[in-house]
Amino acid sequence: MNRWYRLYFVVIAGFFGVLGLVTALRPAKTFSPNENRVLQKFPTLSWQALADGSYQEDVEKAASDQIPGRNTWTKAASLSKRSLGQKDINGVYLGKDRYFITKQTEEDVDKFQYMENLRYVEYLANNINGKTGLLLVPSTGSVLQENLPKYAPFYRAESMNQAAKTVCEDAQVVDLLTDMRDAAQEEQVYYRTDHHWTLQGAYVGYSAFCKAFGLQSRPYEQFAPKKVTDSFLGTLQSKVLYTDHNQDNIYAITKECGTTSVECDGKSKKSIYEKSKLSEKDKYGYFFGGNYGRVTLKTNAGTKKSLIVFKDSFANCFVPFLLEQYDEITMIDLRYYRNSVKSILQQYNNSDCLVLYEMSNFAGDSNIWKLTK
Amino acid sequence: MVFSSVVFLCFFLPAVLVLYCACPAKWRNGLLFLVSLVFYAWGEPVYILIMLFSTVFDYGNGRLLEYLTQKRDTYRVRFFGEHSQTKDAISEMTGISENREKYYQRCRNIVLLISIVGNLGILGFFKYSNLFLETAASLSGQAMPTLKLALPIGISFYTFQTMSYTIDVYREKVKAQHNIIAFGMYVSMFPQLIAGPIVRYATVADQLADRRLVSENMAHGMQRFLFGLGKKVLLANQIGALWSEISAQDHLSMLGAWLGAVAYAFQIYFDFSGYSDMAIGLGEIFGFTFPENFNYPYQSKSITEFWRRWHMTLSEWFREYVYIPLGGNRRGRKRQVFNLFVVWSLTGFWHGASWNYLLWGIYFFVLLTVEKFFLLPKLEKAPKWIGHLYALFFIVLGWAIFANEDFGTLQNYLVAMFGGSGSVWDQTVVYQLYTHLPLLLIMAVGCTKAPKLCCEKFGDLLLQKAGVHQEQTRVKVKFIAVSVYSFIVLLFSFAFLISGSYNPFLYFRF
Repeated sequence: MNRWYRLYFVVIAGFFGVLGLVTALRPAKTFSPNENRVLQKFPTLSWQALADGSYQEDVEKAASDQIPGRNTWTKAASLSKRSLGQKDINGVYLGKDRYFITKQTEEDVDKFQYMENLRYVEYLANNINGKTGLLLVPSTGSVLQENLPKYAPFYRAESMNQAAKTVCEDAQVVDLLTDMRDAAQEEQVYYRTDHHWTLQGAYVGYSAFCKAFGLQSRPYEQFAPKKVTDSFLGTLQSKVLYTDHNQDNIYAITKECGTTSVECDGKSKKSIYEKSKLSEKDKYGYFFGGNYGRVTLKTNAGTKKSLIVFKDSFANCFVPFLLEQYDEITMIDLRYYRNSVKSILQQYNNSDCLVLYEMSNFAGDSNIWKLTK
Repeated sequence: MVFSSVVFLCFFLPAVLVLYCACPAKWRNGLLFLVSLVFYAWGEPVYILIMLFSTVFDYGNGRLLEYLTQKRDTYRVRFFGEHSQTKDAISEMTGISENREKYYQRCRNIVLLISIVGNLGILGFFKYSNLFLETAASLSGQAMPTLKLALPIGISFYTFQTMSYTIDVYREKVKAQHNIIAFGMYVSMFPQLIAGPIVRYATVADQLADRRLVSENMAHGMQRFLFGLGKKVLLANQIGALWSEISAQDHLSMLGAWLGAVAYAFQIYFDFSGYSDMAIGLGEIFGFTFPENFNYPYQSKSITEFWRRWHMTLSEWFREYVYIPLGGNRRGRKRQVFNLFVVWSLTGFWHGASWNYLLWGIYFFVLLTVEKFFLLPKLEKAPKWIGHLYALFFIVLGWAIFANEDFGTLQNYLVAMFGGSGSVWDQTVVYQLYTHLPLLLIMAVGCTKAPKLCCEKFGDLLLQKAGVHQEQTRVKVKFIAVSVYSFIVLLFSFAFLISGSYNPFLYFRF
């Protein structure tokens, strides 16, 4: 009997010990594409770090970051949670029809920041010559309500839109909620594994924008959308980590008037599309190759009009639709843009402005005040 | 360092186990002392000095008390008959020795007082001074300097342990420890350092001097440890997520408030008893027998019974060192009520430096007093389910007081529990309820003795059917079954542990 006792003890202690040895000794991984973050490596020992506790903290982070099979362990945990009846994992609803949907309850949406941000937009509208539009892309859960798990709480987008219309008198508020809900009956307007809208969704935004700004919009097919990948597993899949046979297709338009120059943070690019991103984890980066502080697009549209877009990543697949409407489009991402917004507004003093954010992103963004800078 | 971390499980524990097994028996106390200091210093490099001070202080007090006791006892020897002295001489000598005896007795009292004041002083200063200063500031309306002291981990536990030592030496229930390494190991021993059980010195005094590595105990200790880990990581942490979600909600329905309190009740039980299991299991591996700390408390039929089953080592400590010295129930009813009040106020306040814990203690004082003088006999006569329902209602209500440190939020929470928030239920609570139902059911069953009894019965039945009658084989089969189960628990716990550190950071990378 003692043999069994000893065997058991050695197996368990060995399990821990071997995992620990492998974690500590194998070459460190530096980056986790799934989490889009740099992984912690084991720190070098110093008395100072030891005394202030930063050494210990780093070792703890490194230990859990470098553990072998990290993704597999996490995936196993996600699957067990699901089989125990949980309908949300890591802040993602496991929706119907294989949709992963970001969980955003009333508490998750920062209403104070939202109202403040609306006032900054109104300030912008008051201080420029051209038109100002505010286009808040509804969160996936606000549109695909039927796909949410039963009774899943979600914030009310209707009252948020109402507040926007009340605060913004000069800025034109483009309410997409109904349009998106209608379109969702026919088309896939959001990705299943990512928090972004699809090209079809962005087209709905484009039509509504044109209507609000008095522009002529073209039918979707005329842009000749083409599938660029059929194996997109987006940010929401990264949070849940298992796949439900729900890889997404990414479409991009191929027929626009054409850009004469694309400049991203001072570097010029050949195309608004970044092909290399299709072989990476974050395939949505295909549009413009990700987010930059400032992107300047020059086109041969010949309309003598220009547009400034203050935006988050939702604009990246939306802006290509507009290339034929403007000679010059400047995209500003206030999260990364460090220079004065005023100077740009002076430079393009007759241009129109569009503020385009996903609604909950807009409510949570603490950089919108830069519109007044 | 916490037990449910990769650093503890994969680095610290295997290293300590290898060293401990390889180490000659006479150095094992020293080794455990050393690794315990490493364990403590990992999170609290500076506060280790407080623990070492505590160790030296009470070691000294113990030795001093022992010396004074011996001295006193030498003068206790009376001179009677055998010696051929005159009556006068005898009574004169007796007088002298009585004076000396009293003198040493007084010295003993002073040393005990110093020890208690010292220990409580350390605890009070580090744990409660912030609270007192803040309260004084808010009462006087003036800004007060705050000390911003971080609470040294485990200080509430190890000061109680060292106090049990000096008090028991004073009461001559145990001998003073002469070996400072053995004593230091007792104070700092890492398995129960952070969250108990509170091991009284008298319990482990013999084991400090003599214990063996027994492979049966080591295997059982390991199983116990893994089950404790599972309770913490698989159950407590999961339902804890529900509690933190509910406690962050702007609006709570009545059902939501109760669901939150129930979730918290499960979280604190599985967290705390899981931690105790891990501590007891580790103790067993190293050759100690630690006292049990929980005995299926949610199965109780009264609050009195609940406190006999919940955090047993703490209640025992307060009974032994506060309630009984105050006179317990031997000095009349009024005095007993007063004693109960003192004990339960202190018990509540011990749980944390915030006034709601005091309130929580007084809440139980009221319940226990009512039970003692009036309710208990009636409960015993009533059907069992009434007792269960009654006890659970007040236990869960108690946890609501315990969990809300701020009196404003506590008030809102209690109002919501009694239907004052305007809604009985809402969409959110329906969602929370049905997505957590399997987990809640598992925990409801898991906090009773039923699963254990069922497994044992079922196992016996299976063995009987299979025709296994030899006792040794039965033990073996049972051990293997439990081992396999513990390994599965380990794998799942590990997955959940890692997934807790999995932290997608999708938009920025600074």
